[in-house]
Amino acid sequence: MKAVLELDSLSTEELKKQVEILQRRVIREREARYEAESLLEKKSLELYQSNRDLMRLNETLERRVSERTNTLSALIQNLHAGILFESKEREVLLVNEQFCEIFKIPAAPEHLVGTNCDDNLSLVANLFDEPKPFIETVNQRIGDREKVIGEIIKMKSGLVYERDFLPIYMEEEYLGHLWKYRDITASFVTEQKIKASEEKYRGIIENMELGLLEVDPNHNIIKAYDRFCDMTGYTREELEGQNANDLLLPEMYQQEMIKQDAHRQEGKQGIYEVELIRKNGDRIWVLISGAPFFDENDKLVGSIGIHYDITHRKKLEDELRSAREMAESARAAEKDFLANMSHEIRNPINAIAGLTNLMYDTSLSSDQLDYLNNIKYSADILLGLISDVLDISKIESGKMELNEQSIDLLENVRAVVQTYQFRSNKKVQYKVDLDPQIDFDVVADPTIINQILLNLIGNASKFTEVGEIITSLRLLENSADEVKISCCVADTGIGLEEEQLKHIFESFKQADKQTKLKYGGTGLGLTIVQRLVGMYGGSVEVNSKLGEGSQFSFNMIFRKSKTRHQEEVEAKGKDILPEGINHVLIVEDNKMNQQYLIGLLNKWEISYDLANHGGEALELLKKHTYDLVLMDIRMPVMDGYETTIRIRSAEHNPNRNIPIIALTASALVDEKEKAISAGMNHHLSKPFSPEQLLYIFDQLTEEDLMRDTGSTEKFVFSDQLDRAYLDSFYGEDYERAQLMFQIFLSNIDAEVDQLNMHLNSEKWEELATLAHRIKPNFVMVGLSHLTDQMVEIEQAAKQLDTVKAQNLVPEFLVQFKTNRQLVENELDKLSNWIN
Amino acid sequence: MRGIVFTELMEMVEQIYGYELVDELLQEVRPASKGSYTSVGNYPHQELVNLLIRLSGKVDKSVEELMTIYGQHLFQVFAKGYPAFFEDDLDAFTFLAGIENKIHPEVRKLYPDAELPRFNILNHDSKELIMDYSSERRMSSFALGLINGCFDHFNERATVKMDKLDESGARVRFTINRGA
Repeated sequence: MKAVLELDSLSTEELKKQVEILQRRVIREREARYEAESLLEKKSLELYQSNRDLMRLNETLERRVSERTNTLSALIQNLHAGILFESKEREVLLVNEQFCEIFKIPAAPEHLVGTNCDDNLSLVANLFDEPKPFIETVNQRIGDREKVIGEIIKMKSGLVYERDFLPIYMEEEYLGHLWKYRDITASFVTEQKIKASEEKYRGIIENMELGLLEVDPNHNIIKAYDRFCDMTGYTREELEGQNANDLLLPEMYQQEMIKQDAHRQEGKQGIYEVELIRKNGDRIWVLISGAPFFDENDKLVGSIGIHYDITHRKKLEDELRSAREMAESARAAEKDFLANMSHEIRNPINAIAGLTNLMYDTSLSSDQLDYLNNIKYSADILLGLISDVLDISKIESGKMELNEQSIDLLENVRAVVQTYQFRSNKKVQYKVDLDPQIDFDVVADPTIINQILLNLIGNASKFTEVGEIITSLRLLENSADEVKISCCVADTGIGLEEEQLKHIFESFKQADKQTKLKYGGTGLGLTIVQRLVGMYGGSVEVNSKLGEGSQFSFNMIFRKSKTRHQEEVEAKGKDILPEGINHVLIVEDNKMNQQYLIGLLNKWEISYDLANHGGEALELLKKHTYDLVLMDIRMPVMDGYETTIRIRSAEHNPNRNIPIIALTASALVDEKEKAISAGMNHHLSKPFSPEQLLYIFDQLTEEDLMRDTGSTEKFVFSDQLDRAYLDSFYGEDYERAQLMFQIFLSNIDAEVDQLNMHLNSEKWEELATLAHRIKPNFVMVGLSHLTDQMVEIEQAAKQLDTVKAQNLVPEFLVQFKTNRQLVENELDKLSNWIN
Repeated sequence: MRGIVFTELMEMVEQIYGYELVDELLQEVRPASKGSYTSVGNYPHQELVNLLIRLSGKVDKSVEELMTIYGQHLFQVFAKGYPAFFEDDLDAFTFLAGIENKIHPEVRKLYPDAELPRFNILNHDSKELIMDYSSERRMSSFALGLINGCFDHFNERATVKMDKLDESGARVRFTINRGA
């Protein structure tokens, strides 16, 4: 407008200019408009395109949602559970047929959508076992809006449902909630039945005085039953929730429980005995049978323990144990008593018998001879009695020593019978009936054979006034190695009643009191015979008729001897003075025994020195040389073992290798073994006859002779070996030594391996037996210290001193390794020397 | 550069000096767009600079001065044209401090190819606002005008100190204190 108003005042040129400006402006603005329009069109096209895309996307999404909803809806309809989906206002959003069936709603599910559930709640509640609580819980769940699953709902119809309540939120907004009712009637009823049956059995167990306890894997008590509460003195409330181990189990059983736990982890059950601490602090012993139990996924959820109170039984066991221990110690005391008696009684009898023997060599009047005969007779009876007692105790304690050798059985029988023939002044004939087929020697202990015969014949003679006593031998079986021989002692004596026959082999049982008075004796004779015969595999049988006599018969099995027995031509009792024994040392504290020995030595014209104990003996041995030592064992100051060990170990002692004869009062095998292992050469059990002593002298001089004759050409054993023993053991029989060394080397490794194996497998009994068996092998090749070690190992294994055995055996193995080489070297030397 | 910057500049020049000057500028500068600017279009930045340089020679004001004057003017246009950004109960400091994080993201939504300066706020309390401007277009004077316009809009007073942080002027610090 302004421009138009001013047009009139403008010059043509200016006007022209203004028009040009305007033209340009119009062009610019038109172009700007075109550009803007095209830009806007482009923009709107873009907008249209994206709008269309959005619409398409929306359709797709709607279709998908609808599909999913349909699937979900179908799923819910077909679900094997009643489903109700309510809005927060409790309007039905979704419901299925099953739900309608449960709640007995006659309408179709789709018609229920939109109706309000609250209105119908009290109506349907009557279907349930407990209508009021049902309404309350429904309202509570809806109010809480919290997920609750697995509620058990029971209907009046008997059906049982498991109900889940699920609140449903979209983002933060509460949309409503879903009810799910699942029919679990079948499994619920089964479960109830199982529970009832479990309860029933628990009831039974409880009634059986067995306390039940359920614990979780950490021993926390889940459930304690009444009987268990009674046992422990706690109430159920005090127990449940507590840790059973902490509360009830003493510290010392915790380890056992850990062991049992490991066991239970593997699903195994275990039975074990522990003590429990009662509430009042008392302890009770229980036998627990514990078994694990698992949930449906096989996960260990705890264990159930059945507890049986065994306190009373344990108490009885303890009492029995202490009673047994008492009995055992009483038996041990009895054995000790017998061993001591052996010493205390034998010594004086020895003296009486010995001195009596000496007195026969003095000039006696006929009265004196008569008295002497009576003394001897009484002493013999006394000796017989004490021997019986000792024999039976030896046999019973397993210490009976078998001293087997090759013997002529027939000759033995004849000799025994003969002694009775001479002794008898009665009208009794002593006869033998011997099978001539027995023309070979057997391996047996002659002492035992004689003792059997002496007892039986002695018995027969006691009860036989007139008639005959026949001892017979029959060969029953004869194989290459063994023979079976029957023996019978038959008499024509008073015989036995049937009642007596039953008890005849029992210790200390005699026919009756009259018999005892009339015939004397200990009543042990037949018991001893029975045991001795048993050692040769037999059993004594008796046949008897009152007034007609008795027959005692038995069989024995012997090994046959390879060699024929060399009969000793020398008549017994005849004194043959020993050569080479001229000066003897007597070591003895008992005056009577001293007298006996001195008497004998005087008679044999052997000089002697007397020591009252070991101490004196050592002094004398320092100053003088002797040909042998007679060594008592039990003496004051220093006993025989100690003395011997000192003699053998003393340096520069002229008597270091002197023969020593042990005189033991005890007949026990132990003492003899101890004497030999202490270094004594021979052993004589008191009382002994002059002949027995002479016999040993003979053996000694024979050994000496052998030593002397070979002195010109002698093999010298290595001083690393026990030279003294090897010399005395082999004499100059170096071929035998060679053989023994060879045998040793070829066998010993296996034995030693075995020894080690027994140790490793902790078989103590086998270890002891093996050690016992192989211990002599070492000394025979000069390794006496290894024999000593073996003795120690045997002792340790016998006493079950396992710690000691475990130390000794490895120690031995080390020693053995080096010493084995010594033996090998020695064998080489020996073989060269012989060749 | 957004078309509105060009159309508003032309508008302002026309209002103050008349369309003859607008015509003169366009005739002399001969921009590639031929000067037919529309607010919805987008034009090279250099055209604006060339127009301002030519204008400077005609009205005896430096380019910087022109930019500041134009910025101050343009803020009023923005305030009218985009009231949505001024809805909340704002003051000038809060508005300026929120440019980088509130205004620019919205601009980018509408014009994804817009090239905007960056404002880094170093201090913002009730008395003082320190913000660093950085843009390769080196139009800090334009920014100063906008800041002044902002205080005019909110009817507040402030002293604005502008310090170059580098030679080129691509980085500039504005230290703004309340009061006259």
